[in-house]
Formats: sequence, structure tokens, C-alpha cells
Amino acid sequence: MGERLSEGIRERRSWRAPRPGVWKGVLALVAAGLVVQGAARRMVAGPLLTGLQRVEALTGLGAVAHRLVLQRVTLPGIDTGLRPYTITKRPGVPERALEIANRPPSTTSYVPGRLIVKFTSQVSAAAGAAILAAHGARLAIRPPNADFDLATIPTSTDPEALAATLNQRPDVAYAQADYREHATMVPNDPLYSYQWNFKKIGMESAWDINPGASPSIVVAVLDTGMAFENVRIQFQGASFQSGSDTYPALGTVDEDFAPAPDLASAGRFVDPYDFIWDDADPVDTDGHGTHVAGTIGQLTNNNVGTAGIAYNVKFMPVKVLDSQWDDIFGSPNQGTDDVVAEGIRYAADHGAQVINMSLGRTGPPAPAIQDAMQYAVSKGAFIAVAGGNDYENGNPPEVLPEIAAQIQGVVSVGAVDPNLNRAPYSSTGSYIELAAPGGSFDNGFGADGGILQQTLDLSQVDTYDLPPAQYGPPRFDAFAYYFFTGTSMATAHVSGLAALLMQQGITSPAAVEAAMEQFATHEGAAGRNDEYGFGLINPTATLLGLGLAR
Amino acid sequence: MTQRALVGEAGTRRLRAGFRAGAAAALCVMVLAGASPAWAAPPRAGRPAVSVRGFADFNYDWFAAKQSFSAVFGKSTGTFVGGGAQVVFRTGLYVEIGVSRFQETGQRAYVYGGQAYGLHIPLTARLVPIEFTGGYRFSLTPRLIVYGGGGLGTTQYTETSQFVSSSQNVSTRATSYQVRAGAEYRLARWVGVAGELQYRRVPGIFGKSGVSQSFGESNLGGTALDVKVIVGR
Repeated sequence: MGERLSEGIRERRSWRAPRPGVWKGVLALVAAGLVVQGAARRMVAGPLLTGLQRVEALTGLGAVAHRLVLQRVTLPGIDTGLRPYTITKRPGVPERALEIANRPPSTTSYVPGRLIVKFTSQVSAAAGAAILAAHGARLAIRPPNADFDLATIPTSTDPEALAATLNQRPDVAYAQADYREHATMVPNDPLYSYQWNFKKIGMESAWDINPGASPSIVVAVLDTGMAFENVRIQFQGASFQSGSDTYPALGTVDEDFAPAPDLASAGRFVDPYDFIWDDADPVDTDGHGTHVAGTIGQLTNNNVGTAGIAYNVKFMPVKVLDSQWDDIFGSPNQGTDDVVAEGIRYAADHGAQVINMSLGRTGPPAPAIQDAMQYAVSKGAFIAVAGGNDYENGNPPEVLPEIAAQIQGVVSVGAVDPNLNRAPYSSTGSYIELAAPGGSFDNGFGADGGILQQTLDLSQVDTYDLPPAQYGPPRFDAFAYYFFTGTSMATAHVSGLAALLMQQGITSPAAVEAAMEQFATHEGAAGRNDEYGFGLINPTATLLGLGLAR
Repeated sequence: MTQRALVGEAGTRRLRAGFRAGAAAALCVMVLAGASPAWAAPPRAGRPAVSVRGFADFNYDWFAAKQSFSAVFGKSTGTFVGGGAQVVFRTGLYVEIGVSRFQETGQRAYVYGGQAYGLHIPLTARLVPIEFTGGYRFSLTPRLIVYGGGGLGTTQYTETSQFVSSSQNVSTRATSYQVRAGAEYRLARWVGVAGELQYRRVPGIFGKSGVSQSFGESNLGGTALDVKVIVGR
């Protein structure tokens, strides 16, 4: 058994049930009928990490697993009430031909054959027409609600060059080519306004270029599982000790799991596997994995909750981290090096193009994981690894990011706060390669300084944080939107961008990393630095890539 | 807008410089032509001292920036279409001005490890060389004339891409240099056809950024096979 991995979920484990008064940080979102809980989730290390210790004290880890899948339920269909869009075709004209006939595909950023001109007030209409005629153009129309004219020019004439010529005349106020405008995609998800993280990295213009990748891209999320299926599973809950408190055994409990409503759609999840319980039901008993998956690809433009970066991808839920409930229920495996290495190889063998690893550890090297990462990259999978949340804990070297820095195609990710400064917890070191929003509740950012996504309703999950008298079975079929902070969240941004890039055409993991680093927005000290690596990810610039000369 | 205007102004200055250089080169050729080399064919009787001719040309170009063009357009060749005018002197000297145009739409790309990855974002590149050439012509037979020459020009290059802001698109101009040699066949008194091989070098546009920098290619010119249809004596 290797070292235990838990780094990436520290922000999750640091949470405690809010005390009276802490609820001031809770935002009631009436429209969504949901609760966004912010200030209650703080990044505090050390003393609060007691759950595992409690469990280990009274349960025999590695004992026979007490878990039985009782019932599977098919995801119900959703009646959206939309009517199909019909195209009126001309008789005998194929659909595509009609589309082209109606409007030629744009190959320029402007409309050929057209120029916008405004003459100074001293120029009469006739004089303006004469000026244009001298340049082979003719006055066409003055649009209503406009104080400029539209001129018609030969389609072979370069409108930008002609505009430059006309702009040198004193009697022309301005002239310009008629540039095409395009809609900037702003998701209609009602909680999108809280997702500062997407605006800060320019996701709206990036979505114009690549709206959410496609289902041909599979992103494996190696984490605490994912809320992806309707299933009832029977567990045996052992008793445990926490400080001076003894928590009673729950005995046999039947737990219902449900897919996160803002994450699940038909056919979205492929090849799930649970390396903690050794079966094909990697359900999330923690909330971390579901939250991370949301940032990568929450359903977007669905008028529900929040948005995600690559919202059309398929997910491969791979559970390699055990939660406190897995420990209470006596899972046969824990999140250790061997389990994580298996998970990486499994994801690569089952066709994942992107692997998100919002996890990590400090301590001795991890050759098993290093080999697995090299294997995955050789199979064409890009891997994003959390840079670590331990800056305030002495900033010890992070093992997985150190591996990432040695493999082209594996990227370690540091976190920035809403001001795009390094988040206080984000580990630094020569291994940090990129930065992305991870959020911060500190430095005055408060409740909504974190990264918002849907996950399990933690008030109904973390009952082990309540006094023993209030302790009871958890619920894994209720969901809420939470602000989380951490390099786990930052890593999910990089994985989402990697999915867009893979779909856009950069199919090599090494090239994906190189592109992200080349187009990153430089932050901090000059060159690559230990806080931000090559800089903050820049999805728009990275997706645009290169022209011939620029 | 201000930036665009400034760029245009600078480009105009460069254009004027190109014209001056081209004219100077043509003048040099004319002066040198006065020496009438011994191997030049004697002026044909009945041919005017100076004739002005127009031509249309079709130019198949093998671009020097082979990898860059392949990455964006999927091929490293292209066709220029244009025309121009020639002034032919009885001494065998000729000077020529020609304008041609190449336009192609491909896709933006990313290059890593020498491999290009197409990004499916439309990119349109347009090249408009204006070239001044001077050289010698001499007759091999009454209908067949061979010629060779060289000169300067200016090449306008524009690159526009979908999703790219207008300020990030490229519109620039650079001085080009070309040498060419070919043969003209007179079909009739006023009509001829010519085939020529041309090499054009256009430094200063490629190689500073973009795919061309990734491939280390800095010459926007190339080698071309040119077919001219000439009207005039």
C-alpha cells in the first residue's frame, strides 16, 4: 500500500457544519430554490482533518466491504417542451446548398463590397458621392438610425485599404470596412453571474470559438466519484470515535444515489469505475468529485444553475479517493498510490483524452504514479494535476506536480484568487506550470470568492460533523450549489480547456500543454515563475492558435 | 481605428520607397542596356524603337514557406492571377510592371514539435505583389524571343481570421526581389504568349510570429511558373 492521497480534497474535509452566525455567509437563491453556501467552507488545515482518524480508530480498514447494489434506475427523460426547428427547403435543393445559397460562408472578418463612411458636416450628399465615385465606390443607402452612409464598392476592392485611403482625407470623419459582429456567448444559467472565474479567463469569447467541445471528447475525473447515476446501495455503517464522542454504528443503511441534475444528461457518462470499492459504481460520497466535474463540464445554457467549460464532453467517473463515508462504510481500498496509478491506466485504456487529477500528496516520490502518467500520455491522454494547497502549511514539495513538470503532456496547476493573484493556499515551487482560478475566501473576497458549482447537499452528507445525538445516515441524492476553493478547482479549469483544445484539433497531450503555456497570460515575475508557472490560462488565445504571420 | 490608420500610413511610405527603388533598378538596367552586349540579337528591321504592350498572367507558385502554407492551406502551392504592362526597346531592353493577386482560405493552426495541428478556424491570406522588372530580350527566331531580367517590388500581405479582432489581423507590406527568365512566342503581329520561370523573395513579413515563426520560414516568396498572354508588338 502506497502513500495516502488526500491533498486535493482538503478543502472539502476542512468543512464543518456551520455554527449559528456563520450562516450569515449563506446566500439564499430563491429563484433556483437552492442554497449557495460560501463562508462556511473555509480552507483550514490540520486540526479539522479528524474524520479519517476517527474512522481509523474504530473501524477495521481493509475489512470485508459492506456494500451491496440494490437497485438501478434509468435516468428519466426530460420533456423540454421545445419544438423542432424546421428549415423550409427549396424544391430539389439540398439543405446544405440552401444554407450556402442564402448566405455565403464568411472567410473575412468584414462584409466584402461594403464600406461604412461618414463625411464631415460640410460635405454635401452630392460631394460625398463624388468622393466615393473617385475611388470606385458609390453611395448606397443611409441606414435608419445612423449618421453614416453605407457605400457599395467592387467586391474585389479591399475595403480596409480603401478605408485607410479615405481616412486620410480631411472631409472624411471616418471610413471603415463593415466588420462582422458575432454574439458573445453568455450562458443563460441563472447562477452564472457568480462565476467570476469564467469571466476572468475570458471564457465567453472562448465559447464563441468552441462552444463546449463535443461528446467525442471523454474527460476522466479521478476523484471521490461523481453523482452520475440513480442507484440504491446498501452499506454497513460502523461506529467511530471522535475526540471524546462516540458515534453509534448505523448498521445496515440503504443509500439512494442520484445524478447531479446540472451535470447529467443521457449518455453523458462512460466507463465508470470505482477503485475504492472495486466495482462499476463510482458514486460520490463526498461532493468533491462532482464539484470538480461541474467546472469541467456542467450543463450550460440550460437555464439551470451554473455553467461549465467543456459542457458537451462525456465524463468517465473514476473513483480513486475515499471519502469519510467510504471509511465509515468500510471500503476495501483507500486513495493510495497504487489505486491512483490504476485509475490513471484505466482511464487511458478506456479512451479518456483528458484526465483530471484534483488530488495529490507530499512526501516520498511516487514512481508507480509517474509510470502510469507516462503511460497515459503515450496513449494520448492529457493530464491536469492540482499544484497543492499547502503554501500556508510550510509549502512542502508536492509529489504529483513534481512528476507533472517532468512529463510534457501533464500539467501542474496553481490557483489564483478573484483578483488573479496567487491564492494564499496555493503551493509554490519550480513544478508549478500554469495558473487558473481556484478562488479564495480570504483577503476580503468572502463567501463568493470561491468557485461555484453544483454538488451534493453537504448539509445532508456531513452528518458526522454534528454532535453524536444528531448524527445519522447521509443523503446522496440531494444537491446544492457551493463555493469551493483550492487548486482542485483550478485544475478543473485546465482540464476543461484541454478538452476544448482536443476537440479543436490539438490531439497531442504534449502539444496541448505547450499551447496552454505559450498563450498563457503572464502573471507575477518575468518568465516562468514558481507562483504562476507560465501564467494564467488564456482559453481564447490558446484556441485561436496561430495565423501564418501572426 | 487610429492604429489602423497609422499602419496604413506607414505602409504607404514603404510602398513609395518600393516604387522609388523599383524605378531606380529599372533605370540602371536601361543604362546598362546601352552597352548592347555582343551576344544580343540585332534589332529587327521594321520593329518600332519602343513598343508598349499589355499582358495578363497566370502564375503557379511553389511557396518557399512550404511548411507554413501546408499547415494552414493543406498545400504549399498557389495561383496568382494578374496583369501588367511592358515597354520593349529595339535594343532588346525591356521594363515591366506587373500586379498579381493570390488569395486562399485555410485554417489557423498550432505547431508543436514540427507538427501542425489545424484548428478549424478560417484564415484568409491575400498576397498582392507589385513588381518592377528590367531585362533583356533577344530573338532566336522571328517568332521566338527569350528573355531574362530582375527587379524589385512591393508585396501587400493581408491575413484575416474568424474570431480574431481586426487589430490582430495582419495588413502589411514589404519589399520583394525577383529574377525571371522565359521565352515569348509570337502568335500574330499583336499577340504573343510567354512562359517564364520566376523566383521571388519577400523577406520581412514571415518568420516574426505565427506558424511561419514556428517553422523558421521567413520568405513569403517562392518559385513560380508564369504564363503570359501579351497584346502588343
